[in-house]
Amino acid sequence: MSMTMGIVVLFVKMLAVLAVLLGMAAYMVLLERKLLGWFQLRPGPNRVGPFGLLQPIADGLKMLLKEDIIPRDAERLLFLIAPALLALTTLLAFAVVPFGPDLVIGGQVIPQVISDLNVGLLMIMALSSIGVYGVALGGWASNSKFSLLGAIRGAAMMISYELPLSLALVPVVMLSGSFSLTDIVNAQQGYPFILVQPLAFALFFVSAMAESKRVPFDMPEAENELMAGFHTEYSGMRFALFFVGEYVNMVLLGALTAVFFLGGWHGPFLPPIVWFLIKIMITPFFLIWTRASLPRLRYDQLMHLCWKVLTPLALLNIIVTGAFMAG
Amino acid sequence: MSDIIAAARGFFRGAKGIADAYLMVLRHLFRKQLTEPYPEFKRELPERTRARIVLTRTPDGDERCVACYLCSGACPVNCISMQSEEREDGRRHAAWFRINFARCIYCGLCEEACPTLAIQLTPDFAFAKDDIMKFVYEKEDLLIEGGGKHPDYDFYKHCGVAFGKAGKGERPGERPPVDVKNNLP
Amino acid sequence: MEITQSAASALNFWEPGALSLAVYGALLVAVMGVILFLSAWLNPTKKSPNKDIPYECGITPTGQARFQYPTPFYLVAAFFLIFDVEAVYVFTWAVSFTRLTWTGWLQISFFIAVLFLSLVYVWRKGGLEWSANPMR
Repeated sequence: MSMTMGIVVLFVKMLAVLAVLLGMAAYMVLLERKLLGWFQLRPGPNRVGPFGLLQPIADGLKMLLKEDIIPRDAERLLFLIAPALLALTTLLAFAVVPFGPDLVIGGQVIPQVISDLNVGLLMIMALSSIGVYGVALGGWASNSKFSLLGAIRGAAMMISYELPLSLALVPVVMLSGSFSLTDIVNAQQGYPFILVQPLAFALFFVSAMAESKRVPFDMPEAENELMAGFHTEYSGMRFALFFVGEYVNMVLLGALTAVFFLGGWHGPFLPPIVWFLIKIMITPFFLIWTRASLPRLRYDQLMHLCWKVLTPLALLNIIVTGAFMAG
Repeated sequence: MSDIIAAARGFFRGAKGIADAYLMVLRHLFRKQLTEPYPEFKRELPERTRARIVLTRTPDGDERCVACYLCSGACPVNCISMQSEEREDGRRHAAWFRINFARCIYCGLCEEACPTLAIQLTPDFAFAKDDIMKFVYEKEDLLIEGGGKHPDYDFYKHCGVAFGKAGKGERPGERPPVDVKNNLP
Repeated sequence: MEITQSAASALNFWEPGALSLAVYGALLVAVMGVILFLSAWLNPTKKSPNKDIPYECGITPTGQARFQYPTPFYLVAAFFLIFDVEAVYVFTWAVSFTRLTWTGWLQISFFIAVLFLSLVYVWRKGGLEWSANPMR
């Protein structure tokens, strides 16, 4: 009885997370188009449904019915699974993100997290590294020169920025003493870590922007020179999966920023889950705002920023934080 | 030391540049949008806008086109074709007149070439079709009531050609023809 | 005793542990499979030799797109491997930081200093430059 209930509750939880994620990803596309429109003094999509609210559904249906073209001489298997790999890793990373404190319903404790691993942070790092494979293999397997260039750039950039991203999280782990995301949020009961670790936050945020391959770090898919970069040859649902991967990644980075630096679900007055969703939305909004504001970096500037600025600063930040906390 | 100050100054100048860009973009969020939602709001286009081509008529309702082939010759994409014919009253006109709008580039050279101001471009640009063959317009589709941009002009009032009821020089405003053999000083 | 207990907790669906992660992963794979199956089932297929050509702005592509690429990309991969493995050591120190205090800090500071020196070495050697004539 209890076990069947457990399975049911687990499935309800997982489906809720999936529905929220895919819905958020779909509506993130609409939000981005709307915001970019408003930033450029135009209304954005407003034809499909009231205020264009049905646009994501129309887009999804269109993508589903589009032809799936596999280019000549493509590495078929890799070409076919690469988009799913990217979408899968970003969606899987949400397993360890806690959406709120434990619920108690009828004496049964229900944690609002799918899997509270004690190595949650490391798992997210690992998954974001695996996500690089989606980009690299998808671009390489297409047998198109644009795709290959985009894939190489993307792979080199993403693994480079992985380093400052993980090093910027070391102070967070020091402050909370755990890799579990639930413990990290619980450690921010009093104050969010952004107040004590502004530099780590800045490093994490810049690296996260680069990890999500967005302006000003969108060299892998720089429209003006590489058409669409690593997904030039993709069409139909596979292209949509790359899109889902990118936008879920935006939500994921928002969630990680909220968990690591903004205090997760902690906040006054509103229920925890609402606070968490609000905090998730801060990062995507900022990313879209950035896309409307900044030009693209040159590739060597991009790598110099990572290796010559962010990484040394992150290392320095660890030592200084350690000195303060030990002293 | 001065190097460090210069570097710090450069850093702050760069940071200010980025922050300014962000603020400028954010301010646009609260400004009035410039978009005119098209099907609901249609802008009044100038009379001279070059779009769908029509054939116009004289003030007394006769067709203006004399089938001189000048528009057809001027057309850079050869989308105008016609067959010239003499009417029973002696006037020339087009037996059939065809414009293929699928090829037309709306350059307006036919209008420039027309000696009788018959062929004219109108501001009606939105006439999409679901089939490319529907873009072939025959004379009946092209002819409109009225004189378009030049409602008062009538070529045959000025040309001195004899046809129908009036002979040479008999129309209002015309002088009788000059006898070239008695015209010496 | 302990083993059976942990086995029981591993099979407990109420527990947010590895089991729920595995179930979630399986669900995701199933969802991806359904999406790809649906698109394969619904999409129209009209074969045409021109459609299969890789996109190069209308120019017919010549040769394969499997050529060698510049060395800096390879160097970046090598540096990433080295530095990321060392980041793992830093992480292990960070998670047990409160128990290690000053001694731990001194040791990791030494470690990070070595790491930093190696970064400076790579930098000075020109391993981080992207061309022979770096534009600043």
